[in-house]
Amino acid sequence: MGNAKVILGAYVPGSSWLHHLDPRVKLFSCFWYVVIVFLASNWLGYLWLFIVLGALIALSRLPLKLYWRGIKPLFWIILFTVAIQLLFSSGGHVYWQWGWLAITSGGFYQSAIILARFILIITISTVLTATTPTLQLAAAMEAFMKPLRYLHVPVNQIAVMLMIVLRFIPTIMDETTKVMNAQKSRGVNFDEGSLIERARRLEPLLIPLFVGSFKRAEELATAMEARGYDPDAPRTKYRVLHWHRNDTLAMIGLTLATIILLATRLMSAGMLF
Amino acid sequence: MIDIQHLSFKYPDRTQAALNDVTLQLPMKKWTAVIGHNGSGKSTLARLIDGLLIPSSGTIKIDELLVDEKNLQQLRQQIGLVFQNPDNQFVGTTVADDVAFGLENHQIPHDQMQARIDESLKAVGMQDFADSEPAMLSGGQKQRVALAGILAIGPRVIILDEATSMLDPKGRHDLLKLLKKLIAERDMTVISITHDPVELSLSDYTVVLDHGKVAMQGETTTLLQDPAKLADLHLALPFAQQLQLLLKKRGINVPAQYLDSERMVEWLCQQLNS
Repeated sequence: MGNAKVILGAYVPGSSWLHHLDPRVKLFSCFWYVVIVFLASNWLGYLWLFIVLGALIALSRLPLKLYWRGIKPLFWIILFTVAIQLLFSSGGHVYWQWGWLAITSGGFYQSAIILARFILIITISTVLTATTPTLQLAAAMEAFMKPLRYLHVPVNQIAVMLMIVLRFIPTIMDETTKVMNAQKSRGVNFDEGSLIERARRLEPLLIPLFVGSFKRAEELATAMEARGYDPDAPRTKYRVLHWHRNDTLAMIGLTLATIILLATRLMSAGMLF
Repeated sequence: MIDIQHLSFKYPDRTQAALNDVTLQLPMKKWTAVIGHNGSGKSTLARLIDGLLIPSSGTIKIDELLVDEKNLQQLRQQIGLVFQNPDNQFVGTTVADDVAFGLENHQIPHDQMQARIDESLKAVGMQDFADSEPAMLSGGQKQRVALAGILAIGPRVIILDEATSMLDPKGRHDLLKLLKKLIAERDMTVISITHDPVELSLSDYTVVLDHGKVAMQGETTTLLQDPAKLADLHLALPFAQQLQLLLKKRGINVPAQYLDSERMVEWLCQQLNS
């Protein structure tokens, strides 16, 4: 149970304006924001994106610390990518050179862009997952998949699968802990030895989990059938998403933010003002 | 009446039939206990009644409704099954979603759902847990949610397939008490597949299965009058009947009629005073 909170536990309960938005709006906006990050072409564009992000963070009424926690696990990857950009990009004034490694003004510029993109994309995703319960995100995904029905994609079945996955992650986590403890009490040590040795020790963990999951799946399938589930039959829905005025406002806001960003592109091209 | 005629069933990977020419009439609006060893065919019988398995031969009728592939949807509306493992029948990510699962399957319109969910959660005393996740619930609570999911559909028959066997004594006691109350209120038929002597003593009617055949059947009070026969089949007896047997063994004359634990206490007090 505790474990599940870590994996799916990005959600932080609250009652802010963002928390109450329709998950479809939030999911789409997050996706759209990531797209327009790649449309920014100058520092003004990035400044604008940071202002929008700052406004969203303020609207989420969640502590900044939380967003930092989103970035922290990826810190080394970010650092590595930025360093690569810094050392291998060329162009502009050369500050330092050693063989084919060079730090140039172009390199600085490129790595700053990469850093900004990382921060923007990670943080906007945190805004989404921190203000939207997983169940609602799943509902939003299902809503976006609906048109695929015309391509004979079994959207209803995928939705039920998604629900079962979410439902059983904590249960399987619990079981993993139980099997691990059972094996530890028989003297298996999961924390020592070389990587290969440790990987081999996962065998007595994975096999019981695998077998247990199949048994579970069979029982669950019987129980679902007994409750009238038929994968091919139409079903009504309990969780229905409702569109509110605030959702329309949010979409207008997103449109405006996009227009302003496009304007910054034109400004850099000297076509505006 | 649940009318079972010459019912046989064999699992494809076994040589022996799980049920062999079983003919039974189970009364409606009564509590029937089906007891027997592991492998006696109890659970198979439950699955056949719900149409989850197709019999090799024989027929089952629930009043006039024939258990048949054509009638499955109707059948599932009339029969609710509670299984043994509380975790492996909980489908929803929250309590309310789980109760809704059955409603969605039976295509209950959205505007009726919330009322039905609230009503059935209230009936099982879980109304305060509507938004709880299954990981936060005890086994007994999960079984009560399973029961709520069934009540929301409004079936006439509830089958308990060892539904209390994985619960602690308190959870088991609470669930049985709740069931007894609900059944009285709603005029439902219960078939309980069980090893639990307490569940047996709650029933009106008992069927004893042994190696896929009906070994005994009748009113529970009549069957329990002769506990020695049940003990011969190595079945667990309610406490009063165990005591009755032990007293008999010591040469004490116990009345031959069925005594529940209350009357047993009364009788013992009488004996001790005289």
